[in-house]
Amino acid sequence: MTDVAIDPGAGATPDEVSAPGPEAGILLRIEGVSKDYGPVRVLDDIDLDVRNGEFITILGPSGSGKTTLLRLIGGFTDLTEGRIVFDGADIAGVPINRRPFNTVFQDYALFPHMTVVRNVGYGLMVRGVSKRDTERRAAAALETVGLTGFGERYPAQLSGGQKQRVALARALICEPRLILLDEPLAALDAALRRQMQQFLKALQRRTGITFLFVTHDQEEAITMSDRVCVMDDGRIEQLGTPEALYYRPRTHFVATFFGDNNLIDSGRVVAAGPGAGSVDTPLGRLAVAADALGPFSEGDPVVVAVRPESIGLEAGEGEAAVGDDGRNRVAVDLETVEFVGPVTQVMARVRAAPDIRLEIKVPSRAGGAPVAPGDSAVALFEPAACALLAGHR
Amino acid sequence: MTALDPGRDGVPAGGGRGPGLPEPALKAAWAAVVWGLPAVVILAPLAAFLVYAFWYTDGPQVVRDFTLRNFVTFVENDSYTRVFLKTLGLAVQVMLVNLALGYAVAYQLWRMPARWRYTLVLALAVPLLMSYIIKIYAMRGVLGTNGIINATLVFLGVIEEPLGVFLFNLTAVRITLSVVLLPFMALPIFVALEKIPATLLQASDDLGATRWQTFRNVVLPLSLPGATIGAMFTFVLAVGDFLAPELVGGVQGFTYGRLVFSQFGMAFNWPFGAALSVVLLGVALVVIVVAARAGSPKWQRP
Repeated sequence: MTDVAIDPGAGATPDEVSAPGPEAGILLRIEGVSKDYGPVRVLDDIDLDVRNGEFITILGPSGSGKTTLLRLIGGFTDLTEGRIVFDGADIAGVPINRRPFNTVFQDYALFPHMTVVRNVGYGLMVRGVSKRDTERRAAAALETVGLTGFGERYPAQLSGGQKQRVALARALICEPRLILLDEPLAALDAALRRQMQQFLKALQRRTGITFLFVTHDQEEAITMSDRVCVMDDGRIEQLGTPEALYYRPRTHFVATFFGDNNLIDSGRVVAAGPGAGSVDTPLGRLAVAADALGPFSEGDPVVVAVRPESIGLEAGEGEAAVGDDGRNRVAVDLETVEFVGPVTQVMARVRAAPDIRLEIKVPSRAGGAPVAPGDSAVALFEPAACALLAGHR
Repeated sequence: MTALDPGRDGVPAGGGRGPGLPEPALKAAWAAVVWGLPAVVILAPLAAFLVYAFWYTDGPQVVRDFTLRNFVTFVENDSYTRVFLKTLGLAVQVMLVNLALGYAVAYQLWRMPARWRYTLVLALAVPLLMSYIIKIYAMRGVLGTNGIINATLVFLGVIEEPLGVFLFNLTAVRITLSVVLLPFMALPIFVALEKIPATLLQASDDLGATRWQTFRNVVLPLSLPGATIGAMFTFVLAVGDFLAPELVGGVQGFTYGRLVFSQFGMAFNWPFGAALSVVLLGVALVVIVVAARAGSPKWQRP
């Protein structure tokens, strides 16, 4: 990823659905699920398949309906329409305490009056497992989350990260096939959160339990998940691998949700062949990869999205055209060149369309940037770096 | 600012807060009022009682010499200790009955939908604003020969004539105190229940517990501190009460509170009355300390 900006070639994963492969079974199927709170529709016709053993994240801003969806699956609220099928069986009427999965709550929800070991063993205790077995398995679960020796403490004596681990151990001990995690890292500070992200991911790999994770944090979703389901305003915006969402956003919302993006408006598809396509834009004619064309065909209005770090810079004059190497070339005049640490951020005015500015991020290097404000330059980017969104946003 | 430099910027001296005392002196004066007033109004009379308890009377005259004879009289005299123990027993009974009743009431309120819940809690608290005497007379109306209980029993044909057994005995005191003190039990329990985060109940549910298991393992232990405080309130209030026994207790309902009252009233033996009060204060303090300990279990302390 580090040299993407100089030579933007690698990076874009064309395949939207790659992770566990088509043979992996569907563990949980959400079919046409809607939820109304009074007159307000908070979830609108949600379809989602959760595969066995994957780490899937539901990502969205607050109010997007992501937590409601999780609560529906967990059984804490009733759905208005649709079906939730777990392992082939509709679980609509199944009460919470009979659902074969467990939830990790945002506020941990540890029982304050029980020691850590009693908290962890709770799920077994209420099922009538013998005290000795419960304690043995609780100790094992605590070992799994790296909290051996903490068994006799009370939750009030634990740090946030430790409480989170206890909550995980408490869910794991019931040996669920699915664990629902409701923004479990939201209350932790940044450093601890990174550590817990890695821990969670590793734990999921090790146990093979399907994780359904809810968060509003884009970075968290991208770094942890096999697949991410982006929600906004009660609907699924896009579902795919983190790479696909980053480089192949399908909607304006997704394109701007993960980091910065250059959105080039009023484009029109002029050719949509099987090998590649091209789009007429105010910047000139741009070559785009075949997989980016997706549902679009010739004549469709589109918006082209290009990541700032997918654009390289070449000093000197240039024509707006597709170069010999297949890269898109756009003549620009540089307005600002700003050193921001690992990257140097450049704002460039497109010569052919002076009201359009491109944001470009090139890796910084010692000795200063090779370009300066006022320079003429050529912006370069691979066809694969272009994503297409439906036009007239 | 004006207090520090009143004349500046054309602000006339005394226009703002005025050229009064400097800040620290003001604070000290304020603290003296805030702490001093309760000290004088509450602690001073208590201290006076403490002193009285160690004096004695000679005829109508109070003799201001230190003595323990009041306490000795109390311990050695069977009739006093019997009343004392009877009253402790009464208070324990009222406390236990109220523990069951109060918990049931608080739990039902807690389970109510939110829009009813607080209205009903308010209704439970309203009697606290009413005159104590009115409440007791209301209970007389319920228990008396023309009361609701007798009227109902006669109407149902269970009895032919209204019975006098519901009033002017110890049971009447038990019932009256239980009813009158119920808010003191139910409210702290309700508050404790309200403080239980909803996610704890969901977590218990989620981990496979039945409703009874959730109650037994989560709700009950977490509401016990509230129940302890409620029990303390009802016990302390019941053990020292004299009005309810006086008005509904008859001869049988002669309690420790009435004994104390009689020393100040009829007997006009203030030192002995003060000594009996000190004993009562000691009981109350012990109960409060025990309850405070039980009300903050060790898992609450980090």
